[in-house]
Amino acid sequence: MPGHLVIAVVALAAACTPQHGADAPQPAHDATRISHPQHARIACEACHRGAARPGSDEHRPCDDGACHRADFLGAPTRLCEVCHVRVTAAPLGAPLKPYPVEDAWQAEPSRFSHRRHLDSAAVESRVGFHVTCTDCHPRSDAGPARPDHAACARCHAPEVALAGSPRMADCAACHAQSSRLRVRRRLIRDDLHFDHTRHKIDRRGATIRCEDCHTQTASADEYGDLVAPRVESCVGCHDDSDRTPGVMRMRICETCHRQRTETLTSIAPRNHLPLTERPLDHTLKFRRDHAVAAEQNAARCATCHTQMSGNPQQACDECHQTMVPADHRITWRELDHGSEAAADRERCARCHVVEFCTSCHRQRPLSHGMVGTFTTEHAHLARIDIRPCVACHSESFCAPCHTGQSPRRP
Amino acid sequence: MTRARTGAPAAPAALAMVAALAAQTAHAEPEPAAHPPSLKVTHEPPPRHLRMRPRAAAVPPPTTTPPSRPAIPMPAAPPRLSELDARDRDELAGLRDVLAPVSFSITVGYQVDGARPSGRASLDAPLQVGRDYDALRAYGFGELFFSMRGVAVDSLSAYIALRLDATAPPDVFSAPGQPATRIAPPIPTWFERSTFEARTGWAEVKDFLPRRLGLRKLRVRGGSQYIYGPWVLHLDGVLVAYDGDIASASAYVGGRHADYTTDLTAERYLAAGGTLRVDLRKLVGLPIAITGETLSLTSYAADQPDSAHRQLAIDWQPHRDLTLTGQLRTLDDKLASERLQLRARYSDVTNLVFEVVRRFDTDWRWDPSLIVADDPTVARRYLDLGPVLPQVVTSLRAGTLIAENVDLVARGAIAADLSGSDVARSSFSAAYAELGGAVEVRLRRTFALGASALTRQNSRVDLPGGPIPDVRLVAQPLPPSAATGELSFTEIGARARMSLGARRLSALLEVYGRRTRYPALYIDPTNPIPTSELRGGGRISVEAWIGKRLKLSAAYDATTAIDLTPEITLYKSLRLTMTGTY
Repeated sequence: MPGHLVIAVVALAAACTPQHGADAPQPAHDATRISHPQHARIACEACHRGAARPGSDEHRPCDDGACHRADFLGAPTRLCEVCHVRVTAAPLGAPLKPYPVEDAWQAEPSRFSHRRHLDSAAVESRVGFHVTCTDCHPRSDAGPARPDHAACARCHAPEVALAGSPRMADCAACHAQSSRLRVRRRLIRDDLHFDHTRHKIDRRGATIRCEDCHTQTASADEYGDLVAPRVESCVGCHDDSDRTPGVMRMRICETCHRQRTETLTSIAPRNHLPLTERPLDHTLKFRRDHAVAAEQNAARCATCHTQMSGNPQQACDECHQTMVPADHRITWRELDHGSEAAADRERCARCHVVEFCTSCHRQRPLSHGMVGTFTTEHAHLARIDIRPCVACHSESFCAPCHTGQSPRRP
Repeated sequence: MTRARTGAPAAPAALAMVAALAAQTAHAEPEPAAHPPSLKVTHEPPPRHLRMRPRAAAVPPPTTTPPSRPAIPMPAAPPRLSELDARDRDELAGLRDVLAPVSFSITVGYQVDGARPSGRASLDAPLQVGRDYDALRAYGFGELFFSMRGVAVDSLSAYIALRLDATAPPDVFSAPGQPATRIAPPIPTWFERSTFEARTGWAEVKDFLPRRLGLRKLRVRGGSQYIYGPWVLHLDGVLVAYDGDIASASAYVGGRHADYTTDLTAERYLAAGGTLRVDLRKLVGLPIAITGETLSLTSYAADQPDSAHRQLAIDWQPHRDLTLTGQLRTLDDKLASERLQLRARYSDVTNLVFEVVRRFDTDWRWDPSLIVADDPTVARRYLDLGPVLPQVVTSLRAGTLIAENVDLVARGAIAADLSGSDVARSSFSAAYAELGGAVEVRLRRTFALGASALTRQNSRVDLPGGPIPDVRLVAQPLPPSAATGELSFTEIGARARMSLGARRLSALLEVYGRRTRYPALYIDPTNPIPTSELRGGGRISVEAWIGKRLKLSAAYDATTAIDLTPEITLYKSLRLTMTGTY
């Protein structure tokens, strides 16, 4: 292999790497939907005048000026489907679509920062109070509500005039122009069922806090940083008899699933097990290739491997001093290690230095038995596998006998 | 939930505005209006359920008591971790708080190794009852790990790992007229002595310089420590490191610490080196990190040459889960090794590593401190693994987790001997092909069954004239090195695992069988020479936690009878340990 090409390959690959920060490709244009990126140069209030649907005032302002005037004066096109359910030639022939559109394409407040809103100390120091989850997501019998503009207006309405907070008219404070499609992911899907109203208090009567499940919400700077609650966060309570009845264990499929499928997936996945279980990524492969993961987060290793200090730098030895590889069995030292050392001596050198080897190999091997006997009897072993012999003895040692020059020759 | 920081009551703003409007209306009613009131609503009024009240927009409190609203159960503030009882604290903190100022772990153990005599003669000696090996060998051992951070001095942390071995002196055999000889242990170990050694012991300070100097990320570590560079080096010395976001650098100097030996008379080395890593991702937006490392070893003793090792690595990470690494290593300014590695990952549990490693004949022999062969005229000090021959090893490892219950891993490797025809090939640098894999299926929450297989086929040189006829008591010529060694081995294993939780109760049962084939280098018509060996073994281990601090474990290893060692029936080992953590 032309080894010098290694660097060239990497350099070439680097040159071909697109620069970060480049705009994502434009999504496919859908004529039946309003594209906010294509209207980026228009002020938000120009179209969103109050709570009414844009265009509800005799198609104003859509048909103003040079925007879509020609479309409204000509034959009906698919542009009508932006607001109407279908294209018809007769005026008022097609009913309007519901507004606002509550579907997965709805523009999310991509710049909304949960972190800023839940930083109680900072908010209090600025405005004199702080908010919690239920101020915007009030609990009701149907579960926590999704906040609308009215919820935001309680603090951001002009008459409230909170110091340093954006006003409701400042759309860009929450809604960023983006060419990326915003897809709302359904968390509870298929046969899963989850009810927020049943997660208010636990078995002891203690309140279940929002952040018990939504653990990373308070640190989300933007809407895109929001992380859905992981299944692992459920296990902490559902495996605790003090907090959850035994019939609601995570290993009982019907706790969350409406039906039980008799396949491998019916076994509780590893992330349904208690936090004290082996982590999900600790697979068989992980045993061999975990160096990068350990280097990036040694503190995570130290949580379970108590011989480790948790120091973020250079901590491999803290574990490998005591945990030997799986193939280092009882026969490793006597029988197996030789062939492995011959196949991959670099692997040995990661942990052992030459003195480690010589500390054993300086000793008289067990196979040599009684002094004086091995000279005449060693052939039994040597003719099966002579390599262990030449590992210590060179040709010069053997030659006197095997070439007939030695008085010891039998 | 809204809580006013000041003592002012938090009245709903809507009610406040209603009250204010009512007061205005009451005052304005007797006088005629100069202008007709404007009743046009210019903005949406605040919702009635507004319960927040900004300090800057303070409105006089309402004179009337607001209507009572149904109390909404609000979550209570979480208790501080320290206020929880120990059990809950452990659960909440996972298993251990690594930020605790002091943590330590103590392990004490007792091990018994043994080999049951079979009463048969060995292949190379007549029956030697009572002197071939110890029937049993017992020793005690202990380990202590202690880490500390921020105690007394905020910037100070320390880590100590100690090891204790307590073993009985080896038995000796004294035959009439012969010097006493040490009886070989049943299982060879590097230690046959009682020791108390510090494997690692360092103290580190960081964040101790004034921030205005820009050296807040500088750290200094002194003591017995490991350095990860061109070689995993155990160093008794000082490390100075700067861990910046864009660049990180380190420099170290000290004496090399030779592990697992007390004979250091000829093994003194002064080690010095450094590392510089630059992450271009944060500098110019390229997902590339360049790392340069150097290590020099200077021998104290005579006849041990100095050596200089340098390594350059380039990591290209175009995606979070895809990394391509190219690495070059030199020894005394000669190219010694090249490595190209591709790591890919998908969804945390699906991983792939493809690697190509090429070693040149200028590389080190056993480890970076041993770069020349022994003088054959002096007493042999090292094993002879033959000359370093150029070799290319290509390997592929991949694993995944299906349905979070079926764990699969597969690996394969091909090694090629690149030495020319004019160079004597070595048995220790043979070409080989390796294929292996393992699977583990979790059948229930607490049980898992697994199986594994591994085979390696070595390429050996055929003897020109075929097997050498062997006549008893007549010395025969030795075969060339490249013809010796095992031809292949195949190992198949199975395991059953039970676990009630990582820190509760777990047990493991492993069994395996291994077949090794050897080339027919000699032929003896009267006494056929075996060319294969079959053996097996197993291990059972149990680990139980008493509370959250104390762990008891026991492991028993045993083998089947071994063809090449007929004087014993099996190897066996029992290991008992007790570990306490805090």
